[in-house]
Amino acid sequence: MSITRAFDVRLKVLPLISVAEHLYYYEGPCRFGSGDALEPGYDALANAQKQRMFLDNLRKSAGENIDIMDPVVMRRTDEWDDHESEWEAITDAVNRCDVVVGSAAIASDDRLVEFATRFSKPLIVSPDSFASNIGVPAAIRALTGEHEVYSVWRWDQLGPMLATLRARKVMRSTRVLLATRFGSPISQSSLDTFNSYERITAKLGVQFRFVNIHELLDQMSPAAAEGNHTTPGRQTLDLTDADMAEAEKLADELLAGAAYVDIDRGYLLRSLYAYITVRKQMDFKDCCGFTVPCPDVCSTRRLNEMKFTFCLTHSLNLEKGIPSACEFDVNGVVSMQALMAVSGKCPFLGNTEPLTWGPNGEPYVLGSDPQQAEILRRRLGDDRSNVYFMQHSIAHRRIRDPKKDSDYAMQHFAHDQGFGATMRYNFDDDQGNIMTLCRFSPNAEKLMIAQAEVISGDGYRVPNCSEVVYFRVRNVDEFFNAQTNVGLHMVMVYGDYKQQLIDLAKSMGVEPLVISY
Amino acid sequence: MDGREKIRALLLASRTAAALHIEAINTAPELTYELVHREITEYIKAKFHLEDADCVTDNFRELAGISLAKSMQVSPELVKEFDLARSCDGVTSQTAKMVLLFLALQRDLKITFDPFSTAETETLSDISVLVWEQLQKRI
Repeated sequence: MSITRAFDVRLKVLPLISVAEHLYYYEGPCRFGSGDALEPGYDALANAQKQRMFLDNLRKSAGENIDIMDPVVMRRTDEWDDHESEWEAITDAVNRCDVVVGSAAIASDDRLVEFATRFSKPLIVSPDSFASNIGVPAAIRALTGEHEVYSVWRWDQLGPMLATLRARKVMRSTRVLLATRFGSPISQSSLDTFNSYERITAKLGVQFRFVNIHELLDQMSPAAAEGNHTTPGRQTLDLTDADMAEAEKLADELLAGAAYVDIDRGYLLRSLYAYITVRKQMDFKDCCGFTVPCPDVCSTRRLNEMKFTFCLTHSLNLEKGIPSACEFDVNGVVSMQALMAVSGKCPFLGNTEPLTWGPNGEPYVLGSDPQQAEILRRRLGDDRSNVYFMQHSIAHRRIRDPKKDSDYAMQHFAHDQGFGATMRYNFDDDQGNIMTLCRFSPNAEKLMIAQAEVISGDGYRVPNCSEVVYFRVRNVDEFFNAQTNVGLHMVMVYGDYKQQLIDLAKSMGVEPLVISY
Repeated sequence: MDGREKIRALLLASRTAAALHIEAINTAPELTYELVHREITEYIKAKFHLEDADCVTDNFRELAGISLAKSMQVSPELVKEFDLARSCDGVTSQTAKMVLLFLALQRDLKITFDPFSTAETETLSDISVLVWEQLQKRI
C-alpha cells in the first residue's frame, strides 16, 4: 500500500543561522569584552561554537517525525554587507523545507526580518537568539501582509511547536476519497458533515477526490470482458485473482484470531472484497481517507444484493492509521485525521449522545445487551449522572495500542440475513481510561475538544450497529450544548491530547471549543 | 596578601605555567603526538586554573564549566543550567572561555584552526589531535 498516512508525514525543518563578524579591534556601546575577545578571529571561532550548540539543541528538542535539513548560514561583517548572493544561495533549501528555525543575534537578526519579506515559510526564532527572539517576531508581525513567525525562549518549547506544525502539515496533506451517490456534500444521514468542500480546502488544506458508488460497487467482482455495466468497454480496478487470494488469506486470519465468530465466511469475504476494492481506489487516487454514505447507498438495494456493508472496510482502514468513516461523514474523517496527527493513535467513531434510561433500568442504546447493562449499572453505582455513550460498528484491534492488536470478535451487521462483517472490541477492559474526543463544526470554524473517562462497553456480542462505549463526562449539559455546535459523530482516542488539539486548531485558524474532564 | 593580590598571583602563576607547556612543544627536539597531548592537557589545566582533582572529565565544555564554577564560586551544575553572564551576541561565558583558549593556542603556537573543526571538538584528546594536525602543517 502506498498511501501516505498521518503517521508517515514528516516535517522538514531548515536551520537558518545568521552571524556577524567584526573585522577590527574596537570597543564601544555595542561591543563588549576585553583582550582576545575583541580581536579579529574571535567571532569566527565563537560563531562556529554557537552553530554547533544550536544544531545540537535543535536535534535534541525537535521531537518525532521531524527531519532536520543541512543548515544554511548567512554571514556579514561590521561593514554591514548584504550580498544578494547569500539569499540566492539559501533559496533552494528554503523552498524544500516546511519550516525554518532561525538563530541570530544583534547585528545579524535583521536577516530574519528580511527573510520574512522574501519567503512565506513559517519561521521560528530559536531560544539561543536571546533578545532577538523578542524583537524579531515583533518586527515581522508589524510588516504589511501575512507573515507566520513564532518564537521560543526555552528549547523544550520547540518540540511541541514543531509537533503542531507537523500535525497541520498532516491536515494539508490529506486527500479523502468520497464514494458518492448524489451530488450534495451532505448525505442523507450526516447532515452535520462539512457543508462546502471548497471552504474546507481553503481552511484546512484537505483535498477531496470522488468515485461514483455504482462504479465502485461494480469493481467488487472479477473483470468482465465487455467492461462493467457503469463503464462499458473500459478497463477498471476490478478484483483480480491476487485480490481474491488476499481476501481468502485475510478471512483466514480474522476468523482464526477472533475471540468468537458470528459471521458466515462467505459474507466475510464479500466485506473483504469491498475493503480491497476501496483500498485499490484510494491507492489509485492517492487518498489517505475514505467515506461512503449509508442510507444513500443502502436504498439502491445493491448492498443487500451484494450482501455486504462497509463497516469492516472502515475498521481495517482505521487500524492501519487511515481515517475512514461511515455515513459519508467527511467531517468525521477529517476529525479522525486531526486526532491521528496529534496522537499517533487509531481512533474510534460513533454516534455520541447523553445516556438516558429505559423504563426497566436499561440503558437506552440500540441493541443493548442485558449483561452489559448490568455491568454498567454496577460500575455506576448510585451515580448515574453525566454519562454519555458512543456507538457504531467500526471498532478495530488498534484502539488500545496503535502498534499491537488487541482481542476482538467478528460479528455480523444485518439481523435477518447475517451479512456485513463487523469487528467487535470489548470496552469493558478499558474502564478508567481517559479519552480525548473531537469533532469539527460543519463549517470548520470550531473544533470541539473534549475529555471523558471510560466506564464500560456494550454490544460486544450483539449484531448490527451495536458496539458501544459508555463514558463519564464532567457535565452532561455542558458537553451536549457544545456538541450541538459540531454534530453527532465524535471521534476518540485514549490519552490526553487536549493541548495538542488546541494548538493544532489555533494553527489552522479554528476556534477550539474545549470541554475538559 | 589581600584578595586582589591573591588573584593576580594566581593569574601570573597560570600564565607562567601555560607558557612553559607551549615552550615544551615549540622547543621539543622531536615532536610526537603523545608529547603534544601531554603538554596541551597541562596547558589547558593551567589556563583554566584547574587542579588534577578538578579534572573529573575529559570533556572540554565541561572542564570550561568547572573552571567558570571555580572562579565564580558556584557549582558546575549552576553554570550548566543557567550559563551565566552572556553577551548580546549570544555567546555564553562557557563558550567564550573555550573560544579564548583556541585563540591563545593559535597565537602561542602560531597555527590557525578552521573554526568549524574547533566547534566539533568534544574532549581534550580531540583538541590535541587538532593541534597536532596544525603543527604538522607548520613543520
